[in-house]
Amino acid sequence: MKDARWTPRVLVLLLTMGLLSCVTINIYFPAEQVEKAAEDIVGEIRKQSQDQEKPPAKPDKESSLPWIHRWIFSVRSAYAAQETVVSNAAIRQLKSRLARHDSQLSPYFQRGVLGEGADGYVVILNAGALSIKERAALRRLVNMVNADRRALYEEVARALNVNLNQVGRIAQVFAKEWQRTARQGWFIQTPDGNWRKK
Amino acid sequence: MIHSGGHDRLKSRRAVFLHAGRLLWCILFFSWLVTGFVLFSAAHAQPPPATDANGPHAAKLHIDDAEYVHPFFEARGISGTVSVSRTDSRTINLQSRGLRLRLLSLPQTGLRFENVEIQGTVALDTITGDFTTEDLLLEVPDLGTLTLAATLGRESIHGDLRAEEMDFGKALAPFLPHKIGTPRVPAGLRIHFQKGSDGAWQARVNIRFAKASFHDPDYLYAGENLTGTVTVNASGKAGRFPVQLSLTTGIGDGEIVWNRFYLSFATHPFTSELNFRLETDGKIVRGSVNRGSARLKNLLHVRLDGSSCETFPDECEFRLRLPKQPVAPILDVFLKEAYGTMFPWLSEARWKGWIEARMRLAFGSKLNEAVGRLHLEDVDFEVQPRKISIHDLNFTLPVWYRRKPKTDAGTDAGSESAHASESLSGVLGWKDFRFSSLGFASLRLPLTAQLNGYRIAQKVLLRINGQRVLLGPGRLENVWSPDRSGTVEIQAEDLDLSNFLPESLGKIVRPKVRIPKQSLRLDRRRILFQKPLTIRIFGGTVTVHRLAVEKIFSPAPEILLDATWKDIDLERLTEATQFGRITGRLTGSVKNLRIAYGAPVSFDLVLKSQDQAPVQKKISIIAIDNLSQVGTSQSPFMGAAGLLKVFFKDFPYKKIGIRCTLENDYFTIRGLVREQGKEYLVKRGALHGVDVINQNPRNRIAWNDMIRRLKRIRKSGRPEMR
Repeated sequence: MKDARWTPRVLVLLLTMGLLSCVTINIYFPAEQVEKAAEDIVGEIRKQSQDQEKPPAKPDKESSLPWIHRWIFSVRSAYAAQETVVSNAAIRQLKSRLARHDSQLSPYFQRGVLGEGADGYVVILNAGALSIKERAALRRLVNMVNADRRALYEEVARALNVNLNQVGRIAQVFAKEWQRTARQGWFIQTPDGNWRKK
Repeated sequence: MIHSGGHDRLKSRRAVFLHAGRLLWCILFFSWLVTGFVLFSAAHAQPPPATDANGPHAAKLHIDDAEYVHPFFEARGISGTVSVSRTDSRTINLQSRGLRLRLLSLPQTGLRFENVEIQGTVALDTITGDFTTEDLLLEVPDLGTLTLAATLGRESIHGDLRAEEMDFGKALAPFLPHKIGTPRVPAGLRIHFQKGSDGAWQARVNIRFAKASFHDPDYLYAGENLTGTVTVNASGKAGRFPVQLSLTTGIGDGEIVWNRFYLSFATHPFTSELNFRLETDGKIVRGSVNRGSARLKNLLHVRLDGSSCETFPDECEFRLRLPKQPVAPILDVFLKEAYGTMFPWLSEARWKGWIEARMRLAFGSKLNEAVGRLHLEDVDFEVQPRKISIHDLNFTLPVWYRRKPKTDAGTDAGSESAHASESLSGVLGWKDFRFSSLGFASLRLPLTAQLNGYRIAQKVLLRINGQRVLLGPGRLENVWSPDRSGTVEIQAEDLDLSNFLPESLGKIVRPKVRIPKQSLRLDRRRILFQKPLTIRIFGGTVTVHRLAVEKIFSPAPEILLDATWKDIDLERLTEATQFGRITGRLTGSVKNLRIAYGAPVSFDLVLKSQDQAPVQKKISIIAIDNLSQVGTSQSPFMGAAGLLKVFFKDFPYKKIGIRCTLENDYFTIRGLVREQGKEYLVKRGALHGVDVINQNPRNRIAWNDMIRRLKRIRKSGRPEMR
């Protein structure tokens, strides 16, 4: 009698466990879209940053070139009309801020003071070469850039309807783009945590 | 990267204090250590043979792996040879040419030195029993060479310990936060000490350091070229308490960076004085500061009015005071310079006035508390480019912070609350406050500090451009943590919002909002209006739901809202916006409107003409032209709108229905009137009129394109979009 009373309960328990074990929790993460967004956004930031670093163009010299040369060799600024996977006013503003600050950070990247982390953020690697006042200024700048990057990843998550607890994954996808577009000689962090010169 | 949160900073501050106390122990005990060791050497020496006519005979005393444990220090692994000889009938010399100590430690300080070597001669007067040394050398690896000259009598001691080129780095390392590592502290040291026959002793320690430096692995917490002096005067009775100590410090050169904060000691030389005493009941050492002060010249002056400690140096309480001093240098260094990168407008900020504070600070493993008041007096503040100015700001800010509030003792919290209402009151007031076009008349807002929070007990009248707004009561909780929350009541009758609009729009639109009894709720970084707001504008009403401001402590706060409207007079609306005349009534809604960095990020907008309108429904050619250009980028009149206007002024319409969404930087515009497979933005009247048909319902307009279209409309010189 005792066994007969317990058997249904055990069966129900086993059935429940079996059902639970079959449940697959799908966390929505549109990897391809995030990768495309990272490629577009980081590409544009790095391009704008390089444009800001360049000395102002000399129109007299350029206009003296034959028009066919200008047509073939000149790079046109067509990014304003490009369609990116994700964009909005906040992302545009963050891109503009990040481009401006990226050009300020690039000399420090070049000197090995900064590195592109594997987590999508800028890391201060060796501030010892700087004056103590420069260190404080750089720290403030890096804090702000990383805060802007964090805000950018959150905006991308919102735009793609990705849960905000997935921002870390988005940051890692962006990290690959930050590192891919990093210039020769910049330090980048490998996924195992080590640093190497690009 | 190093992340330093408030908890870490508190820990660091406490650690610095802990170590400062230990440093004093170290200095005093080091003197005792040396004298004690000399006594030890003498005690272990065997009596030398008598001097014969040929002169003194030397004996050698071999010591192998001996140890000596004193209450204050331990010497282990003592090995070497001590030569024992007589120079005359009453003097015995103990000479060491390399007595080695494997380990010399001061357990109470955490200091440990390995492989210490001692060289020199100690003379014993066999009649008086005095030990005398002139040049006992102590070679301490990583620290340097110390020279001892001392006389140790049976009942009295006096001597000098000195070192010219030492590096105190290793000795100081245990006293600094772990992340700092080993600093470099080149220094000269002088210690003079003496103990009389009555047991009274005194010591004077003088340390001169030059070009000292420290840094963490990332160089973000660092000091360089630090040059200054430390002087300690101590006195007491041997083996007894209390011990009186005074500590004077000066740093006249060098610079320091602590995360985002930078300070130059050449610009702001640092001086400090501290007088305190140590007491014990035999088990626990207690310390108390009688008085102290710290000053950064032309920047900051802090006084320590007193302290008490349960166990020294843990669980101490300090009474700090900022004497009345100018506020501008403090805000320049610790606010403008430190946060100017994040908030660029700070670089334009100008301020003057006075600051004063009294605070009780409790440190310890069980309790961290700050209670007191901060006063800003006669402060003027201006940020010209942002048109922000405050005159005669007087702010008494009460503070009651506790890191770990008691959660299991409701009665305790209640009694503290009562205490707060009596003694922790404050007041915020100004004579004149202008923020862009808003003018706030003089204010006096009483507030009370509660445990980790604030309370506004009563309603306070706030006049904004002459209009009355009632603020309060309200409360704020967990104000010092990221989980801060609170509510405040706000009330206003027919508040004219034109002052809140851009100047050009405010002249032609006078929206009025009635706030019968609104409650603003703060939740972490979000402020939410808990009830809908009703605004009267253009003869109709706009009801704003879910109005919230997000990221309020960031440089770019965001606005979120939903809204519905009805009975809006289209004629007045289109006249104000100069879009082109339309008559009728407008209803509609906007959902999920989000504004960031001053621009819309997303919305879902519905604009519909009201069927039951008490006025004729007409639309002008210019309005049709503009509507078409915004929606489809093509005018139905192909540039002939000006000519047609001569013959036709307005067309009757049956219905206007537009849905406009913004997402991912793309607009979509859809007509809400659908007939015979066509989608109309504007449907003509029954007899005549003009239809505006959405030719491409799937049309998506890029942000940049939309801006170009709006600019084109503005450039046409006719209508102007604002």
